[in-house]
Amino acid sequence: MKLLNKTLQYYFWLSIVLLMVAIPVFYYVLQRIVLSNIDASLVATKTQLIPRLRVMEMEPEALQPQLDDGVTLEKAPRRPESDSLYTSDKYRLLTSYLVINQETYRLQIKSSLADHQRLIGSIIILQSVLLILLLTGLLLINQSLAKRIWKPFYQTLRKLRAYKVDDPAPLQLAPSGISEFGELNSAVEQLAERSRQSYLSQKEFAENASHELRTPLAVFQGKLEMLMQTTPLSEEQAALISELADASHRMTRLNKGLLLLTRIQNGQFPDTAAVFVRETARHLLAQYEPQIAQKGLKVEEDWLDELPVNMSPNLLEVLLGNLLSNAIRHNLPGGKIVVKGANGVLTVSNTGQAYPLQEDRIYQRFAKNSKDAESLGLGLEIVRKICDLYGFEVKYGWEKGMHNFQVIMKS
Amino acid sequence: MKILIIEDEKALGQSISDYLQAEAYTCELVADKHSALQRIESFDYDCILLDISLPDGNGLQVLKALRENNKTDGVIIISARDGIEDRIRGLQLGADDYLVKPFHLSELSARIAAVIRRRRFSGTSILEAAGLTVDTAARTVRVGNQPADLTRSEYDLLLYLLTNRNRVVSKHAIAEHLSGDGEGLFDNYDFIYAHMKNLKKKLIQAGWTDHIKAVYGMGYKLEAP
Repeated sequence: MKLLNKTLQYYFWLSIVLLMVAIPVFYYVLQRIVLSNIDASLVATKTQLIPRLRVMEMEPEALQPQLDDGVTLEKAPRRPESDSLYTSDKYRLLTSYLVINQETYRLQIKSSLADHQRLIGSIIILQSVLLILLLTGLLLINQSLAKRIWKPFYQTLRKLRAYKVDDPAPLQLAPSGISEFGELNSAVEQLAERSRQSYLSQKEFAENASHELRTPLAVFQGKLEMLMQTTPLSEEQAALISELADASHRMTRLNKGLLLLTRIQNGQFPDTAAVFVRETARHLLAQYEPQIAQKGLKVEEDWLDELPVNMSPNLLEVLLGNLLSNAIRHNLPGGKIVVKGANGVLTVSNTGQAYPLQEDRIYQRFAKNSKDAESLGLGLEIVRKICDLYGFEVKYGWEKGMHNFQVIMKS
Repeated sequence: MKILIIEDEKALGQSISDYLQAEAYTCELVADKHSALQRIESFDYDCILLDISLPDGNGLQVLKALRENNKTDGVIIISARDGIEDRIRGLQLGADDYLVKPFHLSELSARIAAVIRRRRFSGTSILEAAGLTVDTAARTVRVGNQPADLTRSEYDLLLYLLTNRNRVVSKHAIAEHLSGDGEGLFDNYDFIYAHMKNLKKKLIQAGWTDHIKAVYGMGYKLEAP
C-alpha cells in the first residue's frame, strides 16, 4: 500500500468516526437549545398575559378576554401548583395556575414543536452535508498536496531506478524544498558517489592488474620457450614444459578476456561504423573452418537480412566470434550449427548437451556449464556486455535439442 | 645483423637476446631510455625492439629521436598496452610493428625477420635454408628447382618454422601465428597437425628430405644444418 493511501486511510476512518459522533451530539445540543428557547418564549407569553388576566379580577362580570391560539384558561378544581413545562405530542406546554377572585384557574400555553423539529432537521442535514463536503475537500486537498509534496521523492526514485553504477556522470538529484527529501537526496547522492568511486577503482584495478600481469607473463612465456630449446630434453621434461605452456596460454587468454571486459565497460571502443553482421559472420565461419571440419559439423546459414548495425567492427567480431566459437566448442561431433539473420535478429543455434543451460548463470563470470576445462567462462559475459553497450538484447533458448542464442539488434 | 633490445625487464630482455642469438643476430640489451638514446645515436641497427614503459620515460621518445635523426632502423614496439590508440600512436610515429606482451619468442623472431626483409633492398627477398628456396616477395617455395604449391596457411607455417629454424616452436605459438586474433577461442591443436601433414606431403612430393620434427607433442622443430 502506498504511503499516501495509508495516511489517507487514517484520515478517512477519523472522518467517519467524527461524523458518527458529531451528528447525534449536534442534534442533541440543538434540541436542547431550541427547547430552552421555546420555554423562554412561553414564559414571556405568560408574563405578558398575566396583566391582561388581572382585568378579570377588576371586572368579574366581564367576559374572558380574547385569548390567542394555543392559550387556554380554565377553572381548575384543584388548588394551585407551581408552573410546569412539558412536552406532549409535538407541543410544548406551559401550565400555570393563577387565582382570580378566589377561584383557581389553570393557564395553559402551548407552542408547536413541528416547525422547530423541521428547523432542527434542516440544520442537521445542512450541517452533515457541510461536514461531508469539508471532509472530502480535505481529503482531496490532502491527496493533491501529498502528491505534490511527494513529487521529489518519486523523482528521486525514478532517477535511482535508471541509475547505473557505470554511468560516466555522477548521480544528480533535483533539489527539494523539503528538508527530509533534501537529506534523503544528499544521502542517496553520497551513497551513489561512493559506489561509483569504488566501482571506478575496482575497474581501474582490474585494468592495472591485467596490464601489470602481462610483463611477468611475458617473462614466464619467454623462459618457457628457452626451456624448450635446452638439450638434451627428455620426454618427461617435455611433458612438464608442455603443461606449463598450456597453463601459460590459459593465463594469457584469461588476461586478454578480463582486459577486454574492462575495456568494454570503460567504453573504450568509441569507433562505430556501419557493418554487416552477415559479412562478419561469414568471414569468421571461414576462419573457423578447420575447427568446424575437425568436429565434422554441418553449418547452415539462413540470411533473410544482412543485419546492418552501427557498432565497433572489432566488438562485432568479438561478439560473433564468441557466439560462433561456443557453438563449435560445445557441439557434438557431427552436430549442426544454424546461423540465421532475420528482422534485425541474429540467431545462432547448435546441437549440444541434451538439456538446457541455466539461463541465469550462463552470463556470469566464470560460470562454466561445460566439462571443457579450457573454457574460460568469460565468453558469454563479454557477449552480454557488448550487447548492453549497444542496447542489443541477448536471449537463450533450448528447443528440440538445439541451444539457441538470439541477439536482438533492432528494437 | 644487429638488434637493439630496449627492455627494462631484465629477465625478458635476456630471453629475447638468448633466443635471437641462436639465429646469427647480434643483440645488445639496454634497460632505460637514456642509454637507449646514446646507443641509437652512435650505432645503426637492423631492428630495434622497443618497450614503451621505461623507468626514465616513454619509449616513444626513443622512436621520435630516431626518426628526427633520419635513421631508418626497423622498430618493433613490445608493450603491455594493447589499446587501439596505443598501437596507432606507435605506428604513426614510424614503428614497423607492434607486439603485445606476452608474446612468443618465435613470433617475435618471425616479426623481426619480416621487418628486416621489408627494409632491405631488392634481391634479398629470397630465403634459402634446409634445402628450400622461399621467395618472400612472390610467396613461392621451391625444393631445388621443383616448385611446391602450398596453400596460404601452409606457406605461413613453413615460413614461420624456417625463420625459427633449429629451435622448438610451441604448438601454441603456431596456432596463434596461423589464426591471428581468432586463436584463443579454441583449444584444439589438431588443425596444426593437419596443416603440417599436408605441408610435409607437398614438400616431400617436390623432393624434399623431411627436416621437420615433432618434439614430444610440445611443438615442432625444423632442423637446418
